[in-house]
Amino acid sequence: MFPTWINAVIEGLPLFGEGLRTTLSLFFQAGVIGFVLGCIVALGKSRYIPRVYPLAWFYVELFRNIPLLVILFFFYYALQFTGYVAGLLALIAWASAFTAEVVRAGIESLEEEQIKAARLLGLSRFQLISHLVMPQALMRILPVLANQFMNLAKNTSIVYFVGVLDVTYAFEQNSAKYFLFFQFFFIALGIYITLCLIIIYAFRLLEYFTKTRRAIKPVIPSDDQALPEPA
Amino acid sequence: MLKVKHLTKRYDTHVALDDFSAEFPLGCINVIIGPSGCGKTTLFSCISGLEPFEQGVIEYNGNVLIEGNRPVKQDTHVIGYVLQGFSLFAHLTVLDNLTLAPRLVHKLPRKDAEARAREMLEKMHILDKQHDYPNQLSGGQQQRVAIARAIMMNPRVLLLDEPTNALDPQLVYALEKTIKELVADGLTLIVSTHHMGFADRIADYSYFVHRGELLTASEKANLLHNPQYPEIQRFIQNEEERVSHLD
Amino acid sequence: MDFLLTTSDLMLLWQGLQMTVLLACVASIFTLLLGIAVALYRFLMPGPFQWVGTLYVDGIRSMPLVLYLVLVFTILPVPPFQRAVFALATFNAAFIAEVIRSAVQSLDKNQMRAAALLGMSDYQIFMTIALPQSLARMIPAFINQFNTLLKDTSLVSLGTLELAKAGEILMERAWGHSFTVILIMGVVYFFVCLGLSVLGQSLEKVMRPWKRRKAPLGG
Repeated sequence: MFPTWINAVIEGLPLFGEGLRTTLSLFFQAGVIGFVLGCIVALGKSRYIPRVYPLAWFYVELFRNIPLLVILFFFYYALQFTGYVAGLLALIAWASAFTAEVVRAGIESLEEEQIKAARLLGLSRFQLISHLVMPQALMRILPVLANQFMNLAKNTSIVYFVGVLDVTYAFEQNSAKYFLFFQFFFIALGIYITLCLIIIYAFRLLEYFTKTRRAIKPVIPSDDQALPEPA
Repeated sequence: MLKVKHLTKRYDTHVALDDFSAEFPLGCINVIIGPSGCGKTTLFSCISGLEPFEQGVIEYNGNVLIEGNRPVKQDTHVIGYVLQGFSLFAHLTVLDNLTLAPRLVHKLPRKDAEARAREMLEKMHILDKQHDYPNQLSGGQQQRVAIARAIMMNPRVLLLDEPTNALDPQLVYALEKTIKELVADGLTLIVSTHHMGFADRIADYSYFVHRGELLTASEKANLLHNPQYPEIQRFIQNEEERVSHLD
Repeated sequence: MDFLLTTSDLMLLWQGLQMTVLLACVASIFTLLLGIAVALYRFLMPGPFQWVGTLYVDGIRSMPLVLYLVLVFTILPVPPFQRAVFALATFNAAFIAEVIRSAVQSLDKNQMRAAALLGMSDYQIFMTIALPQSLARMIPAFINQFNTLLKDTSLVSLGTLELAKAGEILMERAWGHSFTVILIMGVVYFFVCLGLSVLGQSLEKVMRPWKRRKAPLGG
């Protein structure tokens, strides 16, 4: 009734489960830490945090212009962390640099007039940032941020290169063991696509709750090409 | 008395205000008249402490508010300023727009701030809009929210920059009523405009600014009625032409 | 521990860099051609055939490159260099196709209607009107994509001796040298990629007047 490869695929599933655990934990940890760090760097780069512009610029350019794999090698070979920790650190560095650019675009889209109005009312620098700049900037860039998080989800697969068992590594192991490439490939792909879809809809929901009545226009950073526009 | 003494403000090489001095009596409506680009907005930015200036002193009742290039510290909030574009906080409701600064700066509990904000909105006849977002309001409503937001900080002097811009004639009348109510409550107003009818109807004192200098001042809007300066004559002529084009 | 690499070590890195640049250039050309072809296909095909293009573009874009590389490298029986070019080009072309499509979509539709009224075919309209007009605004995005591709070449080390692989070989051979090696690799990638992105930014500046931002709080 069923083709014989079904059994092999079922046997391979636990490995995928283990891989998924690693992928998810890398994604969530790097996502949260990278996002917070990225916001701070973005504030530095848009000069809301005074005097750190050159540092913020260097941080962003450094991690945007070195391949993720080389960043990973740095933590793995040069600093000799374990594969998982090196992967996490590399993903944090990578995610924070790219998030910083996205958030900066949102921050810089803010009308100067609103900043002026807030200063006239006597808000301090920190109050201005926490109540005005960040909430509005983040609302404006939600679609791009969703894209950024999807890229992070996909890029967790980099840990494959240092032998950490994630979804991609599970695919390779399984397909080599059972000699079934496409079946396992589509399982791995299905996992990544599901993850991406969850991210998209989570952000849509967020957008719905924060933006519908406020009608805040989204900002598309000029250098961010190819936004996934799911049907 | 709000005194502006020898105020000089430059943008690179362009002199926006050149040794500008004026005295504004309190508790009444002061109207600043002049063509666009004459330095009205710059004057307001300097008085409100938004922009530093090269030289000059701003005094309120004999107390120095801002002096020369000294860092601006506005913890007393003597001056309130409603910017030309209103610049409401787009992500906050009308109520939150009003309560944000009192809560953060004056550390007012949310309940008290909201009670006061509702009072203020009631006065401005927009209490029914308290849970709306700025983009859902008309221009006139946004303006009233912006004025209410400035008054929430208890300023003694309120600056209104070109408040009649982009308002329908009926709304201009409503604005005049609002302004008169504010003065009746003891506030001092300084209003900049190039709308002559509006200036004529509300001014207790008027000041004509030309190229960053105070040309002349008068009671009511008398300086417009028998203009002795060629600059004022030219301004009136341009304005009349502009208005007739609009009709 | 001495930090100096031997000449042959440096030669290995140099060879790796050459391979990286060669791979990036060749793959970029194929990426561009394939990307335009896919965009053209999606422009020309009537509704019922759109799904092929959509499946390819959206499928690729929701896939981790590493996963795709592992698949291609396990099932495609061609020499490593060709395999790497194939993988990189077919992957990045989906992004290029999407850039072209959104740029063409934002064009003024009336021009294309006018051209259709003049009797031009869809192919002619795409090649002579839509593509040239949107090219200017696509160039920064293209450069950005090539920059990504350049960095992605580090991932094809499965079988191709490019810079990242050369570095990895040296590091595995002598862990003591890994810091020096990674430093050299990082610096080389950094300047090559930064050069490319500076080129992209200056092109963008020419095409979009862009002003430097002053400090919002005056500090």
